[in-house]
Order: sequence, then C-alpha cells, then structure tokens
Amino acid sequence: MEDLSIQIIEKRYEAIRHIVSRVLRGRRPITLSDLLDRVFLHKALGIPIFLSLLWALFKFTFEVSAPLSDLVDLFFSWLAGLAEEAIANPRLASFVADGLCAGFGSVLVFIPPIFFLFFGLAILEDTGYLARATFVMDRLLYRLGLHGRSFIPLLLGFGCNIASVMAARTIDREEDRVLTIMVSPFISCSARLPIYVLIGGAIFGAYAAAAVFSMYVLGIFMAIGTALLFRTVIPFFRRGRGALILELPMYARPTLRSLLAHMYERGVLFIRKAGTIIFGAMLFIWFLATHPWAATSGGQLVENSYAAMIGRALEPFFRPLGFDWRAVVALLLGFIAKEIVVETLGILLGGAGGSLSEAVASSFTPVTGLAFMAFTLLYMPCVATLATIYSETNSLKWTLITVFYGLLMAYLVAYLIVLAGLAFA
Amino acid sequence: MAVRLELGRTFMRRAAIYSLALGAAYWLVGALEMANAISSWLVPGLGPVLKSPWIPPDDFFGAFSAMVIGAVFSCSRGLLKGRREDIAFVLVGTVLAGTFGALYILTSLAGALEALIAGEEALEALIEGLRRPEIWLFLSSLPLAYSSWTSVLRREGRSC
Repeated sequence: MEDLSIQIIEKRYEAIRHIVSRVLRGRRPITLSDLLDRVFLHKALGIPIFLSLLWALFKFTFEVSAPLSDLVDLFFSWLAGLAEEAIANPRLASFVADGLCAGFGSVLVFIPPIFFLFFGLAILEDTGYLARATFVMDRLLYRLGLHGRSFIPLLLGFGCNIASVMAARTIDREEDRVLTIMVSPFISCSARLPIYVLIGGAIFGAYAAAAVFSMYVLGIFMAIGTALLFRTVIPFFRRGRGALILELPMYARPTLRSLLAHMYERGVLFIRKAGTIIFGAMLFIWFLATHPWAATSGGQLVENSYAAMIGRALEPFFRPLGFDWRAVVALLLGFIAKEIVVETLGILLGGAGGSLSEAVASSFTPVTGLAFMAFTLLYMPCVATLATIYSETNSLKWTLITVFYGLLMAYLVAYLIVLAGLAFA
Repeated sequence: MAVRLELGRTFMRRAAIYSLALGAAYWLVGALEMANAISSWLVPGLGPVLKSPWIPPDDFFGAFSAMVIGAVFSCSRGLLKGRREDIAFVLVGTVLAGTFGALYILTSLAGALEALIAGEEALEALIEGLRRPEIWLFLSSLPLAYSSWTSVLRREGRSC
C-alpha cells in the first residue's frame, strides 16, 4: 500500500519536473532556502547542528529564565511568612503557609522556564527549522526503528505527552503510530522540568543545566532503545515501515507577535493545570502531610502524618534506589500529574523558598538525586496521558504494556545509576 | 525568493580566509573547553586542566557546540576553489555564531541579575559571564556576517 502511494507521489513529481522543464528556460534559480539547506540538511553536519541548537534551547530555557524564577520564589517565601504571622488560627495558618504558599510557590516558580522553552521552540518552528530537523532526524530515526513522522509527535512531547500521543495521528501506518505512542511517555514533558530544575539546582549547582540536559538525552535514548527493542521482539511491529514524504517550507523571519502567541498558547496550559488539578491535589497532600492533627502536633511533625505512613509502607521497595518515604510519596502522587512531585516535596520537606533547595540537598546525594530524576522521567505517564494512550490505541494491552514497561525501565535505570555511582565512589 | 550568487573571486577568497580563521578559532576554543569538561567530569578530583577565567571549567555541550560552529565555518574552503554555493557554510556559520553569542550574552545578563537579587556583586558576575570566548568570536564574526549576507541578499527582497 505504501509502495503504491510513494509511486503515485514520484510520478506526480516527475510530471511537475517535466512541465517545469518545458515552461522555464535556463538553470533553475537557487533560493536562500536551498542555500541554507545545503548546510542544515548536510549529511555529516545536520545532526550535530541540530544537537547544538537543542543545547542552546535548553541553556536559554534554564539559565536565562533563572532570575525570574528567583523573583517568584522570593515572592512566595515572603507571602508564606506573612500568612504565618497574620493568621491567628494555627490550622488555617498552616494551610495557607505550608499548603497554599508552599504548594503554589513550588510549582509557579517554574513558569518562567516553561514559557522560555516554548518561546525557543516557537523560534525554531516559525523560522522553518523544525521541519528540517524532522528531515535530518528521519535518516537516524528510520535506522533506530521509528518513522520520520514520529519526530514531530516526539518533539511535541517535550511540551506535553498528551499532545505527543494525539499528534501521532499524522502517521499513517498503524504499527508506526502505536509504536510512536508507546515511546512518547519517555520524552520529557514540561511537567517533569520543575523536578529536574529543583533537584538539579539543589544538588548539582553549576552542573545543573548539564544534569537537566542529561535527562532529556536519556529520555530520547530510552524512546529510541524501546522502539528498537519492540521492533525486534514484538511481531506486530515487525511488519515493515512507511517512508517519509515531507514538503519543506521556505525559511522565514519570525515575528515577535507570533512567537509570543505560540508561547502563551502552550504555556497557559501549565498555568491552568496549576490552578485546577494541582490546587485539588495540594489540598489532598496538605491534609495527608498534616493529619492526624494531634499526632503531627498541628502539622509540625510530618513524620507522624498519613503521608509518612503510606510512604513508609512502600519505602522498602525503593530502598535499593536510596529514596526515603517523602520521595516515595512524591512519586506516588506524581501519577496524578507530574507537577505534583515538586509540590509534594515542597510540602513534605518543608516550605517554599530557598529552604526547599536546602532540604532537597540534604535528602538526596548526587547519585540518588540523579536516580530520582531518571525514575521520574521513566516510571509512568500521568493519568491523563494514560487515558489518551488508551483512547488513541483503543487497546488495554498496549496501555498496560506502556505502564509496566515504564515502571520496569524506571526501576532498572535508577538502580543502574545507583550502582554506577557506588562503583565510581 | 531566488538569490543571485554573483560573488566576485576576491570576495570569495577573502570570505573563505576569514571563515577558515574563525573556524580554526572556534575549533581551538571548543577543544580547550572540551579538555576542561572531560577532565572535570571524568577524572574525579582532577578538575579543569586549564584554570583560566576565559575557559569555562565544565561546559561539555558548550564545547561541542563551539566545535560544530568551527566545523561549519571550516567547510567554506570550497569558496577558495570557486564553489559559490559554499557561501552557505559562511551564512549558517554566522547564524550559529550569532545564536550562541546572543545566548551567552543573555546568560551573562541573567547571571548578573541573579547576583543582584541575591544581594551579591552584579558587575562581577556580569564580567565573569562576558569572559566567554564565544561572545568575542561572535563579535569578530559580525563583519563577515554583514558582508556575506548583504552580498547574497543584495538584489533580493526580504523574503527567503
């Protein structure tokens, strides 16, 4: 079927070439896009250029946005202090300072990097470079078991895995589409970014950007490795692959207005989520972390809370990875939405502001911190993404394989990181 | 929009030499940064081999990017043999140099602002950030960027 469609397209282009050769005289004029494509689509330089630009995007996202995050952080720390002083009722004061301010503060502090990430992606998209990146990556992706058209869905996964799963609709062949959907959760969505920034910043200091970048690279490698593995092991995916046919747009100069519009459209989704799902989850986590009220001495002793009970029950499974009960609770609640991981750590480790970084630094070693970041990347997509995977594949089998395979890989990779850390130590 | 590659031989030779020199400089900077990054990351306790304020101690990916820019500039040597299309390597090289130059200037400003918020010495942080060699290489590439882009786009509109 694919061969026929490719043949039709080839015949169509043959006809176009024939007409053009009869209508136009002389040499075909060269465009600026042709010139630039000589380099951007270069066999040897294309992929290194793409990787360099991706690195520039991440540096822009994390380092240039850092002062704005600091300001948000300072604001919520100030607000929490103010609430504790001004509210007489201790339970209400705890709810406002430790629940609302710590929870919202620990999530909203990541709005600047998320907006910067989408601004950078909009530049790549509006200039026409993203289409070239698809083309450049197709050669590689094809060898690695994926389809060239998988690139755009996977790239969208850096924003949100739901968008990634939905965008796989553009892939014609069922096998390629399902495979792209199943590897999409390994691509690090924007909700995981706050976790990396928090742990990376607290533990790795000057190496934070590199630690965060390594998670994105790990996600890409896991997606590719999984695609290769599934192509080899699962008979359903062995039935050949379709070819990539892509019309490259001309390069264009992006307008600030369109860049800002793109950034706003995608970034505002994060804020909406922060205002709805996260708010509900925050109330729930605050309740778990501060009750029974008497046993926790009015929310002061988190180790006597319901959250601690749940975390301690599950802690033995995660002991080989070096995660304590707080990290376990954060991971467990992260299944609702990944943003909740940071918020949970914010509440369980105590307060918003600079103290959270210090608390994280004292709770994780560089090795267990990196293992925690890797586990968060791989363990399972959020519940909304899982629902989308189910509706798009219409298969409980593929959905369950996605969940269990993700959990297995997360544990395995995190354990390997810990083992490697021990070996180096 | 079509472009006319009516580039004079003198212009092509000059552009190629300028571009090759920039390529070599980017390669050198990238190699030094890479040596520092490798020794910092892979040899525990050794730290950067070059303890200079002008060479970042641990930027592996920054080093890789500098080497990629160097490679792009170096590919323009075909201009010496009269291959006009190789001006593309100069054009893309200047775009990449501009992207990374602007990026490092922005990160320097952000670093200074962060220092200011933390109550530290902002000017010191700014000067430290501006020591990044890629910023100075970017500034050195501006004359080449101007002359190559205007030569290619001289007779054309703004559309690509």
